[in-house]
Amino acid sequence: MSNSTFDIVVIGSGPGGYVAAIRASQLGFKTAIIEREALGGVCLNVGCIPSKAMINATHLLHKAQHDFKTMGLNIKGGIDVDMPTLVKWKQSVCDKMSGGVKQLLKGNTVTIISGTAEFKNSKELSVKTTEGTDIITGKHFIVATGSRPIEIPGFPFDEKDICSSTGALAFDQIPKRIVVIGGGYIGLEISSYLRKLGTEVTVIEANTSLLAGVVDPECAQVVTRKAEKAGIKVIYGAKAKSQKKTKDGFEVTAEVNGKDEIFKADKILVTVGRRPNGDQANLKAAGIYVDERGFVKVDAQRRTNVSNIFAIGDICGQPMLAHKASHEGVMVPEIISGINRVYDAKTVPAVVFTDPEIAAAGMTEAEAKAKGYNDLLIAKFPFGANGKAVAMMETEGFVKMIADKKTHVVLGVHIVGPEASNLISEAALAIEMGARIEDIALTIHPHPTLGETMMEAAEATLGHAIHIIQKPLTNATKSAHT
Amino acid sequence: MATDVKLPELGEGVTEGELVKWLVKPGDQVKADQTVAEIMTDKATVEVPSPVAGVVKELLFKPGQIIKVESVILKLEGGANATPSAPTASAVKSAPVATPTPLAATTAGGSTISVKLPELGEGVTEGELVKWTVNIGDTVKADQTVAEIMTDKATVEVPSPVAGVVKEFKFKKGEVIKVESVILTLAGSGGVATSTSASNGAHTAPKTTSAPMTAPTMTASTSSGGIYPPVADSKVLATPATRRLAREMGVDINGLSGSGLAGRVTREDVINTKGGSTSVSSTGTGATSAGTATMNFPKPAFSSNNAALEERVDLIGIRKKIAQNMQMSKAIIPHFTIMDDADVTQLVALRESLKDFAEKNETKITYLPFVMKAVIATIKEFPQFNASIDDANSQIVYKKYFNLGFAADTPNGLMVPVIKNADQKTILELSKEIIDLSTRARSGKLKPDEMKGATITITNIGSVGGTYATPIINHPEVAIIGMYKMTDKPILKKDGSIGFIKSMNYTVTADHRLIDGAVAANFLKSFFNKIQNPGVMMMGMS
Repeated sequence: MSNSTFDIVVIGSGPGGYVAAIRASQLGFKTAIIEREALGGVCLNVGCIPSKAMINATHLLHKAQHDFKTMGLNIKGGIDVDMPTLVKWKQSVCDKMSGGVKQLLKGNTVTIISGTAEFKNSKELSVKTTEGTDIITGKHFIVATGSRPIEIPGFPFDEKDICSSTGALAFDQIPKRIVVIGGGYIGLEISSYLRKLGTEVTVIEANTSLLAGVVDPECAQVVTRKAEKAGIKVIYGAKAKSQKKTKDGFEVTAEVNGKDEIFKADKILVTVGRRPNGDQANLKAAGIYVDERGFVKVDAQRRTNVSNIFAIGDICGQPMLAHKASHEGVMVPEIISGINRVYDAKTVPAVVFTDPEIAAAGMTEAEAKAKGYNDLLIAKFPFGANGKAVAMMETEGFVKMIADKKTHVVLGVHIVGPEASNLISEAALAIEMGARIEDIALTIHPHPTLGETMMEAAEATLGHAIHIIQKPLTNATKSAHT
Repeated sequence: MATDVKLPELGEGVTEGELVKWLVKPGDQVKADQTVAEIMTDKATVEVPSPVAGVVKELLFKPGQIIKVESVILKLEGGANATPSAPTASAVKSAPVATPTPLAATTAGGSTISVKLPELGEGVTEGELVKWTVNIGDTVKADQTVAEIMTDKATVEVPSPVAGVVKEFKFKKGEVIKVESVILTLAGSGGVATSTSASNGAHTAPKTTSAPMTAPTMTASTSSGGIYPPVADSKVLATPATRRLAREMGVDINGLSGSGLAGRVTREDVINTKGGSTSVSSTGTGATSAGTATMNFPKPAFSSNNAALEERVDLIGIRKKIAQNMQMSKAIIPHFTIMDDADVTQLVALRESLKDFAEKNETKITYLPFVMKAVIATIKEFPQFNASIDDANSQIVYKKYFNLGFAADTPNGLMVPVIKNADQKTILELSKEIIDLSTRARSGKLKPDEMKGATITITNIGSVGGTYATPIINHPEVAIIGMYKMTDKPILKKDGSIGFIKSMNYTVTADHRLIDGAVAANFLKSFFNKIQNPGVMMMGMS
C-alpha cells in the first residue's frame, strides 16, 4: 500500500477521530484513519480512562481505610497497595478500550494506518510508517490531532521524574513526595488519588484559588476544603521557577508572594494546561489556517478555510473535552455527505473527577448575568439531605440550579458531590430541551437515588424543596407554577 | 471552458425574482463580482454578481421573466479567474497553488480588522442587508457608513468603528445578518493595497516558516455567513431534534416565534413554516413591546379555485410585524371610540398668523404640534391615558413621561415615530421633529429607538380624508387620538344668520379595561377646551 485514495481520511484516532471514521464508514465513504500511537488517542490511553481507573481504585482504598470501620467492617492488618499490579490493571483497562476501538474500526471496514501523517498539499498526505513512507490521497480530511500537555521553561518532561499527566499515570511506585505545578482539573485529579495512596502532595498554584475560572466557585470551594483536609498542601499565588536535582530527589523553587521558596519532591508533575497540536502534521502545506495559539480555525460546521478539510476536537478550540470531539466526529462526515448539520449544542457538560466530583452543564451565575439574564432563580440542595448519599457516607457537596426567573428555563446546573459525573447528563438534557425547572421538579425521580437531588434542587429554586427547610409557600411562588 | 452563472440565494424565503435588466451583453468581458443583472424580489431589487471572470456568451432570460433561485441565468466563456464570493471554490483553488503569490506575501504585514454588525436596538437580533455603501478597495474613515441594514423596525446605517481599506464583504445583499456577525473585513493602515480578489488578501499568518504557499484568507466559509440557516442563538428554546429539523428544512430557527411554553419553538412551529418564510418576531428577547408575550392565533389557510386571478406574496418584514402587532392589540385590548367635531376656527387663525414666523425659522407648522400640546395638557389631567397595563403582574403603570407617537404612512407601511419628552418641547421644536421623523420614516431610515417608547399615539389621516375612523391602539399604550379632515361647517349664529366655522373631527379610542366611557367623554371635552381655545391652552403650557 504505497499509494491509496480514500473519500475521507481521518488524522488522529482519539474520541473525535475514531468516532468520525466510524460515522464516515457508516455513511458509505471509503475511510482511512491514521494514528501514530495507540488507537483511542490520549483519552483512552493516557488521559480520561487510565486516570479514572486509578481514581476508582484509590477511592475504594480510601473507603476501606476510612469508612469501613464506621460500618463495622474490620480489615485485619490493613491493606497493601501492590502498585505494579494496580498499574498493570489500569493498563489492561486501557488496552481493552483501545482494542475495542480497533474492533469497531475494523468492523466498519475503516482502513487503519499506523504512522505519522503530514500534509503535502490539500489532497495528499505523506504517512511515515515503520515500513517507509506512503502517500495517502483523500477527497476530504478530518484533522483530529488533538492536544498535548504544556511544558514550562525549566521543567522539561522526561516522564519519569518530571512528568506530564502521561508520566504520572504510569508511576510504577508510589512517589513519597510530589510537587504538582498547576491546580487545574488534571493536577487535582492526580493529586487526589496520589494522596490516597499516601504521597505527600504539594500543589503550586498561581491563582488564589483552585480550579479558578474552570468551575463554579462554590463547587471549587468544596473540593478545596476536602483536599486540604486530606493533607494536600496548596501554595497559592505561587509561580514555579526552577528545579534542581539533589541527592534525595528534587528541589523546586517557586516564587510565593514575591519571595522564593523551596519545595522538596521525588517527582514533579506539571499540569498547567494543554496546547493544541496545530504545529504538527504540516497543516500549512495544505493551506490550513492555524492561529497564534495553535488552534485550527473552523466554522460552525468545523470546516477549515480549506473547504475539503475539517478539524474536530481539541485542535479546533475550547473546550478541550473528549465528548465535544465525539459530537463533532459524528457531525462532520454527515456534513461531507451533504446533510445540513451545524454545531449548535447549547452546552458541553464538563466533569472534574476530584474528590468529590464536580460536574457542570450550562451557565454559571456570572455567565448568565453576562448574557443578560438579570433576574435569576438560584438554589442549592445538599447531598447531606439525600438518603442515598448518607447511606454511601458521601454527603459532601450539593446540586446548584440556576434558572431564568422570567421564564423558569433552566440555564445552568453545577454539582459537586458523589457521582456528580453521572448526574450531570440529566441537566445537560434539560438544558438542550429548554426545560423549565418545573419540568425537572415534576418528573418523578426514583428513590433512593442521588438523582433525587436534581429534583429537589429544582424545587428549591421555586422556594419549596421538601427535604430542606425553606419558607412556606407564598402566593407568589404558587402563581409561578404555570 | 464555459461556466454557468446561476441566480444565487436572494434572501431568506425568497425563491425567485423578476429580471429587471441585464447590465452586460454577449461578448462583454466581466470581472469576478461584477454585477451582471438586476433582479427584483418582493423585498428589494438585488444586483446579481458574476462569481467568476469571463466573456459573456449567452443570456438565458429576458427582462420581465421570473427566474427561480439556482437557475442558470447566463453562460460565460473562459472562466479564468475563480471566485472570491463562492467560498468553497476559492479555498479549493488556492490550496494546490504551488508558486507563492507575491501580492499576498508582501501585504502580510497589514492587520485585518473585522467589522461586526452592532446592536440594532433592543430586541433586534438580525437584519437584512439592503446594500453596501462602500466598495472593495475603498478607504473608509472611522464612523463612515458602510452598509444599510433593514430590520423589522427600520433601516439602519451601519458605521465602521475604525478606519481602513475595505477588503472583503462577508454577506451579499438580501442576506439576513445576525447581530455580532462579522460583516466585512478591513485592512488596517499599511495593509492590503490591491485586492481585486478576496482570495488574494493575505492573512496575518505568522511568517516564521517559508511556507510553500500563502495561507489563504479566511473566506466566508469560515464565518457563519457561509452556513444557512444560521446557527441557533443560545437563547432560542428548541430541542436538539427540533433544531436539526429546522436546519434540514432550511428554516432559520432564530426567526421563529415559538408557540410553546416560555416561547419554545416546537416541531410544529418549524413544520408550519414549510421551509418558507419565517415570522419576524424573535423569541425570548421580547422583540415586541415590553411585557407583551407572543400570542397564538389560529392560522386559517386561504384557498380558492381562482388562483389564476390571484397573486400570492409572502407576508414578511414590516408588513408581518404590523400584522402581528395589530392582531395582538386588538386581541388584548377591549377598544371603544368616542367622537366629536371641534370648532377650530381660532386654531386655524392662529396657525395662519404664524406662517411667516415658521418660514423665518425654516420650518412649516401643521396642526399636529398644536394637537400634541393639547393632548399632553389633557393627559396630564387624565393620567390613565398615559399608562399601560402590566398583565403579567396585574398592575397599572402610570407614566410620568410624555412620549408622543404619531402614525406615519410610508411606502413600506404604517410606521409610528415617537417624539420623546414632547411635553418639554416648544411647538416650533415639535414641528421640526415631526418633519424630520416623518421624512425619514418615508425613506425607511428611522432608527429602531425612534419608534419605541410612545406613551400615547396620535393618528392623523385628516389630510387624506374620512369623517371618522376607529383606529387600533398601539399596545401597550391605552389610547389613541384620531384627527380628521377639516371642513367648513355652517352654523346658526345667535342673530339667526348662517355662518361658517372651521370644523375638525376628533376621536378618542381607549382601552376599556382602564378607561371608562364617561372618563373618555370628559377627556374629549377637556381636550376640546384646549384645541378650540388655543389661548386658554397656552395659559397652561409650561
